[in-house]
Amino acid sequence: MKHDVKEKSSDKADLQLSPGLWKESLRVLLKNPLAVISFIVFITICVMCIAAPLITDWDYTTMSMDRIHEGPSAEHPLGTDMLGRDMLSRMLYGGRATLRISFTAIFYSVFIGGVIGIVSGFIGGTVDMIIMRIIDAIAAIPTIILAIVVEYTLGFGVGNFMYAMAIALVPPFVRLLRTSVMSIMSSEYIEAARALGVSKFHIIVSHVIPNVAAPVLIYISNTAAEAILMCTIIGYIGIGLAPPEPEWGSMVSYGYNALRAYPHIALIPCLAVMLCVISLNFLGNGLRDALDPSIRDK
Amino acid sequence: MDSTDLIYIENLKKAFPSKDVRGNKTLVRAVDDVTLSIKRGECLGLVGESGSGKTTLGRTILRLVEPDSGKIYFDGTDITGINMKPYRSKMQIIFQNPSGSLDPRMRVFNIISEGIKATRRGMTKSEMSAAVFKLLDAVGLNSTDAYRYPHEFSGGQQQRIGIARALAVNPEFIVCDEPVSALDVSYQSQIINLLEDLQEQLGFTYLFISHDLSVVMHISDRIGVMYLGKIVELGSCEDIFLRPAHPYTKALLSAIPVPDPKISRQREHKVTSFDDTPAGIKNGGCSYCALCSYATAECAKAAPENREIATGHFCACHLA
Repeated sequence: MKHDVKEKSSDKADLQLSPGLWKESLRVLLKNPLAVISFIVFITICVMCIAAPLITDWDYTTMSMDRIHEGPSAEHPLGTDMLGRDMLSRMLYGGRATLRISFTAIFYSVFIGGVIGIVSGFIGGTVDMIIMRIIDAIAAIPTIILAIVVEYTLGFGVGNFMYAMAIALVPPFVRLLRTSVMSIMSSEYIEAARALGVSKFHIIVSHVIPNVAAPVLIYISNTAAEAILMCTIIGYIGIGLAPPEPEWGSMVSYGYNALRAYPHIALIPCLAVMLCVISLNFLGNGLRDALDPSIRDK
Repeated sequence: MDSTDLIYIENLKKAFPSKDVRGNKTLVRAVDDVTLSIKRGECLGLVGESGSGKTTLGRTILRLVEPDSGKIYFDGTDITGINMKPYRSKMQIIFQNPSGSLDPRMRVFNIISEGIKATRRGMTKSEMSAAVFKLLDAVGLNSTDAYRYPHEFSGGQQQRIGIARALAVNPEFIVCDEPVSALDVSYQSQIINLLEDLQEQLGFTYLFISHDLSVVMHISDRIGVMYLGKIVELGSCEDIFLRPAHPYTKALLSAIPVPDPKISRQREHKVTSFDDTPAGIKNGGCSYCALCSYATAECAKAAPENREIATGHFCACHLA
């Protein structure tokens, strides 16, 4: 059942004939108000963080000791922190760090975990056994301890923070991809496709990828929320980025000391984290409903 | 092998590695030295209990499972060890579980046209739709059903989609792997009738695998009885049902439920247990001798040959 070169060239035409599975899913997703609102909220937060230099002129490191713990004003829309630094600029630049670390970590872990999981699922046998035991060993290390080890050995910084989180996020992706590939490859519709003489390449394109993509997409959106939380927790306990680099987790821990007198310093980053996590979770739910033809209503 | 045989298999063997209770490696002989021919245009029924290797035999003939040894001939050509691509469209399979055999993320149109795309190239979009609608019509579905997903159909309708998919490539030979076992009785008869009509119109050759003797009796021209990977008896429908020669066939027939409880109570139940691994296999004797009520000393010593006891009626039993 080796696929020949001819087949590859006809694949493009075949894909055009296939139903707009993704288009259809998008249509259902857009009908879900909660998912749409969540998407807008999350995208707004992302855009604001990316466009930070356009929104605020303040440098997030500029201190002003005579203007500490200030509430919102025209000059400082979100007030100032305990060192008199502008909260808005710290929030936006902090969000940049948090979101960048979370998303890069997820990107790495999806890529690495996906490749390992698919290989493990396809090959099976001893190779699969060895890979899965290594993954089990990695999964047994608590994320925070892993982050501590990585950052104290390789140094504090955005890069090492990302690697630590990426390593921690790999095991669930490997397991998800492996089980998905295994269950799809052993299903009767794959056997039917083989009986019809459909090439391996085409089986992967038209059966395996659409069936794997949906759980992976849903999992990514839920894991993104988890990664933001993880990033915040690591920042909160003080092993994230070295000061004065802002990051939502460390901002909460600074503000925590003055929570009673000046709650806005801790609560504003908390609110940002909360909005991100909740909107990503709702988006994940919406995606699940949209991508599964048996759940989505017509 | 003669020229009327579409399928001829010779000494086909397939064993799967397994582990016994103590964790020792053993082999499950799913298909054990089977020689069989299926004539063009006939329906050969294959019956046997669960685990007797019926499904494996069906899939090995299509080379969805690679045989360990033996030869498979399709229309006189040996198809073992060759590239199956040109033969895929000539041999098809209908599965037992209708919902599991349809990709949940594909519309019916794409499920049915998948085989056409794989085998007949260069079809325009409109030709393709015409072909799919014709197939849907042939299996008794509406053309509007083409744009729905498999989960929107009942089990019987899903099975019809599975049949349409198999028909799409114009096969000559179709393995029906328990196509009605997962359906309720009213759908069973519909699907059986559909398969019979299609055979009449298009001249298919079927290998009809089932554990339901009454279904097999209805559709088959000849019946093979399988037990532990071997075909123990093979003959016409009348031979098997009216003149069963093998004790296992007799036991199977005695297990057919009778609607009348009075008759049912009077019947002799020949089968008491299928639990133990038959001792006969290890000693080289008949694999059925441990359960057979007629077994003699000879049965435990030597495996019976498949003999022709009447014209076209084969039986592997010392006593037949």
